[in-house]
Amino acid sequence: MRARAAPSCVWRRGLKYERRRAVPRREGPLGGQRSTRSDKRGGHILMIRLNLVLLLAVLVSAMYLVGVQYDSRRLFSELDKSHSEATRLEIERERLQVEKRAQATPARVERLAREKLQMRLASPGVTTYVSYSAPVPGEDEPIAPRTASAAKKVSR
Amino acid sequence: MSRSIQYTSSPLLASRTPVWRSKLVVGAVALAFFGLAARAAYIQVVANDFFLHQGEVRFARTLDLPANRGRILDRNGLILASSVPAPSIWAIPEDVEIDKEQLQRLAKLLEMSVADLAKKFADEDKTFVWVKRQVDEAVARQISALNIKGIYQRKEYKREYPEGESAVHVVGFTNVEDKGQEGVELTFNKELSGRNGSRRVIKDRMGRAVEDVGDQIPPLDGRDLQLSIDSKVQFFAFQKLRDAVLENKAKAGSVVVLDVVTGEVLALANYPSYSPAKRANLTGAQLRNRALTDTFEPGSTMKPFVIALALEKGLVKPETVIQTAPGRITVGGATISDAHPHGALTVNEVIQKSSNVGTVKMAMQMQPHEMWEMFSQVGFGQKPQVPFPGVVSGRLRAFKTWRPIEQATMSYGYGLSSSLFQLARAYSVFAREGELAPVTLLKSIQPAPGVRVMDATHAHQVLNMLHMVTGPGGTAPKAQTMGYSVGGKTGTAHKQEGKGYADKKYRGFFVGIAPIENPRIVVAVMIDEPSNGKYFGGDVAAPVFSETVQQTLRMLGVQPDMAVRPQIVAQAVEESF
Repeated sequence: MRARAAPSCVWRRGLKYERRRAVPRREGPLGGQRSTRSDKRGGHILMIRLNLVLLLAVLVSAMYLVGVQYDSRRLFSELDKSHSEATRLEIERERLQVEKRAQATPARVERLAREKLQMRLASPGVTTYVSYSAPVPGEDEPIAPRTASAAKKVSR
Repeated sequence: MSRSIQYTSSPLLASRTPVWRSKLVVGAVALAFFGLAARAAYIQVVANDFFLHQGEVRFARTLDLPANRGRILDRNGLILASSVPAPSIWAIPEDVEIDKEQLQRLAKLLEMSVADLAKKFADEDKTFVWVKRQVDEAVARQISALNIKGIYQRKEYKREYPEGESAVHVVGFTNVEDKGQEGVELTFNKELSGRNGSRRVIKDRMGRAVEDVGDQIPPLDGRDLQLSIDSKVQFFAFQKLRDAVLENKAKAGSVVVLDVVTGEVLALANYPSYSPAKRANLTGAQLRNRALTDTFEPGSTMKPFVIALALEKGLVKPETVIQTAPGRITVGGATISDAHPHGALTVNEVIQKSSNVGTVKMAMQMQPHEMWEMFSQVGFGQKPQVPFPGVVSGRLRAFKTWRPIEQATMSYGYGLSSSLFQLARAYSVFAREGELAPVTLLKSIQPAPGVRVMDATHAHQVLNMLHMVTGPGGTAPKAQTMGYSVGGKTGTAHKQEGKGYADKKYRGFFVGIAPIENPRIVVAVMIDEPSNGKYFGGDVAAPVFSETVQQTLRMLGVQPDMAVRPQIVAQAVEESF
């Protein structure tokens, strides 16, 4: 409704404007041809209305553009922040993986098993090898363990 | 007289001003305006590049997108080397504002003395100084929490090597710029490092990126590298080697474990070693990957190749008897003798007892070029095709220059040189029924095709002889291991010193194959200058072989091929609920 109200207001103002301009002209020597003049005046009024509508549209669109641009930049910087957070987390994950691995190196496992748990290395003497009754030929590489090595580590 | 001048009646005004003067002034001002307008138009329309650029550099920034260096993994995907963030701390001495308490806390965090730290901030002429490079991330976080003015951090990465000293000779290390310096890190530096990318963004007042401009070049991360090394085998080999070197008060030692089916290097360890995290005061002795970069005279470990050639040429059969009494033989005026004189030996026993005389007698029936061909076919005098810095080819002279005495000494491993790695690879000929295995440091699952060097039956006959070496009456009963049949050859070589041979300095070797019936691995062990009484290869190197074979085959899941007396009673005990 505002859109319609605005032009009407403009129209009225436009009329006043026209009237003010029209006054001296009426005093001119060619005051007789009034009908053509009023036609011309109607065209002027239309053009001015249109221009004002367009001006307003430009203003609105400009404001809208500013808003959108602001939003897009805000969102972009948020996205960027999230991206760098993702990278940071990935690096953190990598670091933790390395740390985990460092805690599980053979050297450490061996030392802890020996010292804390009093374990010793399994040898074939303390291992029972269980073979499948019918190994499928060519199913695996020939050297693959055909044993589910039921290694029983004796701990003292 | 009036005090003021009568301006209105100034005589100057009385003179008539010509019109052209005012016109000139108007013209000049108009010209100036025109000049301004033209200049403005020129700057804004025609030559606007400069100011556009100047505007852009005030808000657009190029950000580097660093590529991650690839990881190095072992054959089971366990991490051998990986990059972790390690910020470097730097400062602008002029700007540093720090009080006593902060200084002390900072020094404690950085593990530096207060005096050293204060000295770094003292030199106000400098605009940049590294306080400490590559500190732990946790420490860096604490430092930034201290909030000291003038101290900044730079994002950097450093390599972590969880395996530490056991694998460092293979893996190598990188320098502070993240460039490979040694080992695989050096040879595969290009593949591992990747390529940095970049992007151009507009930054706002707060330093946040608000818009991408132009093209973005994504970073290309380095490739992960999967080695053929098995970190467990590597660790055990290193551990056993270290124990043996320390026990025998030796100078150094190396061990190589090859998978003969795929040609992969399962382990390659040297002692003395070093920790990649603490690289200050490194010596060449620690740094060298001896198994690949050091050559030596292989001694008796060469004999099986001469015997194999003799079998190939039909000169002997395994049961042929050769007279080695009285334990001496003279070739070209020089006398070659056995350490322990034996009588008549079969060819089998020549290997089993490692008789120099027996071997020389066979070798003297061959042409030099035949021996040369055999040696070079199994890889002596040729650089092993492994991607590693400083790989040596050893020395095998052209056969035309051989004198008879040299041909004789070469048959038992003097007068030519090789690395332990070459020796291990050469033995794959016997393990693969006459085919020489290719070698690789990178993981490969497919059995690799070899190059045929000798007939399968002859290779098998030599394999049996090698088995006898570890049996009763052989030189290396200590190479035996529980559950698995093994075979191999001992070697004990005098060390060269200057022009001659050192009297009391030896190298002990053992190169062997296991299991004998269906060979899976070749293990070569070298102990340099054992000086705790024992020095024979069968005494110092064979035990390392035995333990390494035991652990390696168990970890590869190879079923024992020999009956073992069980030490546990395998009884199914139902678990109680």
